[in-house]
Amino acid sequence: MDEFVYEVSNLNLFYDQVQALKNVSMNIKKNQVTAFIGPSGCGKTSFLRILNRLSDLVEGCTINGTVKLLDEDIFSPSMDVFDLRRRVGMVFQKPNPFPMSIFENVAYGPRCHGIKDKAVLKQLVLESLKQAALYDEVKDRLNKSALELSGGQQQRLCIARALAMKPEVLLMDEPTSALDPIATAKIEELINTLKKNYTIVIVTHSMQQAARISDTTAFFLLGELIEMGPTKEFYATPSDPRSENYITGRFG
Amino acid sequence: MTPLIDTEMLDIESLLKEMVAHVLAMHENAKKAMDTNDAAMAVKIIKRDELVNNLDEMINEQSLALLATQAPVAKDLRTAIATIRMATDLERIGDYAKVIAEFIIIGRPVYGPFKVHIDSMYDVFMSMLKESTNLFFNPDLKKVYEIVARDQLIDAQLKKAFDVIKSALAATDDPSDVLNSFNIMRTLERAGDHSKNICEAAIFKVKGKKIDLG
Repeated sequence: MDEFVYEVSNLNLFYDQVQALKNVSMNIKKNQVTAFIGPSGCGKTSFLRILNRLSDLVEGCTINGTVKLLDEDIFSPSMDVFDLRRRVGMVFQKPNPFPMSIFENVAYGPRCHGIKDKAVLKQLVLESLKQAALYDEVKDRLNKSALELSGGQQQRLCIARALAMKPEVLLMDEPTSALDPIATAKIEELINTLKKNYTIVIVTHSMQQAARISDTTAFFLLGELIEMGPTKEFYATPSDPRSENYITGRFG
Repeated sequence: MTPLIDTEMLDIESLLKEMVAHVLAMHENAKKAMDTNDAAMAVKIIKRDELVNNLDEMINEQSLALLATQAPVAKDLRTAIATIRMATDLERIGDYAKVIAEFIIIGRPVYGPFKVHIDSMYDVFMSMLKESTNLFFNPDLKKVYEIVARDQLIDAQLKKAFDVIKSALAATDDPSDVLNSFNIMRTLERAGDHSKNICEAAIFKVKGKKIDLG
């Protein structure tokens, strides 16, 4: 039976008076890549940001409905938001390494969460860099500034930084939109490897990327979840005409 | 503005329609040439087969380019795959008209007692070819089973003719006319099978699944 990491029911999101998500319900399967697609302004990034409550940081944002992470309501008063964000890491569109060394970038999160033992930190950093398929390229310059890395390497460093927190879920908001095709291919390969140990949710504007790397695709339009299903079926025989029109480029 | 993929798919569709028109004409002429032993018409059919083969190649090349450059999905992807399949079947059906034309050029292809069977098989096959190709461009899945069921009539005619061939072979010193006629019937039986495949391609175009029509 499928194991769900997230169970979302009747979720509504308002930015002041504007409703950005309308009654969205979905389940996100464990150890799968789930892709959110849809035109700009459809609500996919807003939805992603709810999953680790980054939405809390947006002024005027009101949410109702239920979001459960492994059976725990993420909006429950007992939920520790900092722990939620440790469990649910995020990688953004533009690589955003801290202006510090490669090593320190990855060690920063665990250190903030109280890990002081140097040997433990070192092991965690190396393990995370290896998992992010970056270690071989940076092993001789761990103390150099992360800003010296290429865009693709910086993005993998950001993934390593998220992995160092031992998350259960990785959220990725258009993680390759600023990268060239070679760097994009490396990130995609990495995503495919990481899903063995993590659940990944990705927002992408590249429908071909969603088709290549995801197991499940969810299509959003004007704040509604129109269709969600196995990617292979979604791209071969979408059931809703709006999905068909969008993915075949005949939208509007 | 028309999406680029629409323009390219319409180009491929017009090649496919051209191929259908050639193959239908080849078989209509093959039937006429067979009835009148018209070797000149048979030669024209063989030449026309080259056009059909070229169209098949063009469809394959343009479809490959479409898949590589336009990354079609959903109905576009299903149509692209179904088109390649249908072109392959049409090319084979065209080959069968060529085979019949070659028998005509050899001379006296139809052995008298077979004529009634061949005429009947040809009529059924032509109706299947016309309607299955039309179905591909104007999908109406309710009609599929009706078209496919006709293939059994062709198979039944072939079975009936088998008894005729046994007595005919025993009664003649020169079995070549008998065997030629029987080969024409076998050719029509295979052409019917390929028309059935076109029905399967029409279903795939709509549903994205291969449904075995038997």
